Amino acid sequence: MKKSILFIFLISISFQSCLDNFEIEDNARLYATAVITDPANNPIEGIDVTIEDEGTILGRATSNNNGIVELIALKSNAEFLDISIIDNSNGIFTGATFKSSDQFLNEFNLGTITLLRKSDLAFSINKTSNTEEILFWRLEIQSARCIVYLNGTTEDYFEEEGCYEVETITGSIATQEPVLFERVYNSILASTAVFTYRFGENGERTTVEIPLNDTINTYEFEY
Amino acid sequence: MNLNTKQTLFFLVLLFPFVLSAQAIGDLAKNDKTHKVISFSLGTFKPIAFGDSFINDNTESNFGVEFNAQFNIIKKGYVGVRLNGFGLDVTEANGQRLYDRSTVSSISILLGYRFLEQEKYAVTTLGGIGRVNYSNKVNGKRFNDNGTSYWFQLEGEFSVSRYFQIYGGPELRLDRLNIASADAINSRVNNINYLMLHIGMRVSLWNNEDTNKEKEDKDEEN
Repeated sequence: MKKSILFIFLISISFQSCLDNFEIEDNARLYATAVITDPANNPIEGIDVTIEDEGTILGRATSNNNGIVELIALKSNAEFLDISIIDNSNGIFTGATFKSSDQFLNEFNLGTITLLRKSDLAFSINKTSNTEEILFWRLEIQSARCIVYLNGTTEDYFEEEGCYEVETITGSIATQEPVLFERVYNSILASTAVFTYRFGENGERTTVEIPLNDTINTYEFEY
Repeated sequence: MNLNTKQTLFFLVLLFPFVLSAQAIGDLAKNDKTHKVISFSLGTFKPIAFGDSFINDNTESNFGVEFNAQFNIIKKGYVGVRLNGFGLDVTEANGQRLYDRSTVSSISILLGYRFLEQEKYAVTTLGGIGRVNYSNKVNGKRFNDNGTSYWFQLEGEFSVSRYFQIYGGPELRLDRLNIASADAINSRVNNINYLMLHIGMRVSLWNNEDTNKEKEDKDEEN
């Protein structure tokens, strides 16, 4: 019995060791520097910059009143690194993620990073009628997402590169029963979302422009 | 202190023949040719980092522990070995800290010279070079930074008795680590300077070659 318990314990330890292969490298540090500004080229204070290895934070720093951030971080044995720019203190600016797949790099000069003001669109389609017509809809909205590859290609990462691009979301509602579709989309302040819809395959297309002038905007299409 | 126990024992075994060869002179008086043969010191010290370094800006030091073994090669000069260690608590900057704690251990060879020596007091300069290791801990993970330690110390010694002394004094210590990083922070992470304030106690054994000779001369006279 004791031997069995010992055997199970050793197997568990071995299994745990296989799973937990995250290590901090000896005698190594990473360094990142950037200047954070708004579109008017004004420095932004209080923006957090973190270097992460699959969610584990290796180092973190905050931009000063000149928008300058200097970051010393530990170095892990990971091949991939994310440098995340997040507005935790103000909560009004977009973020950005810089990705690296070169594990031999230990310095990241990110230059000037321009953050835009965020604006959320609470978008909903509320089908209250019992119409059998199918609703086809499309929403074009400028995304708040910003992913930058410092090296490597799309094949190296799970996310595509791009900053503040216009995304197109399409959908249809074919059910006869009342239904409510709700989503919140992160976008850019002072941009315009475009909602287009038609009923049936050959229905007349209608376009609605939704100005995003507030931090949180609401648009509901009810039919 | 993260010193290897085997290494410590190894050095103690090395020292053993010196202990046996050092014959204490007991209550016999000193003369011009009597001198210490071997000394063992145990003490504490307070490291105070200074200069532009990550350690100075982001850590708070604890008191350390040191052990010295010194062997006189000439009357006033000696060689020896120093083992010491202390802890560093990494402080928060803007609510963030890079890692939690560091345990610094070092082993050095040393050279010393007693340039002022009186009945009860002595002043010594000593310096050394050695290997230093910073064993760092973050979220249960350990990693190491290591390099070379250079130090220079001025020491005052007070003799409580023939065999027992108390010592203290300042030390300038320069740790030069081998951390690979960007040029912009190379000096900040690798060059760590300390002023260390030491105090400790020392046990010394003396030669009795000349006092034996004096005794023999007296016996012949009688």
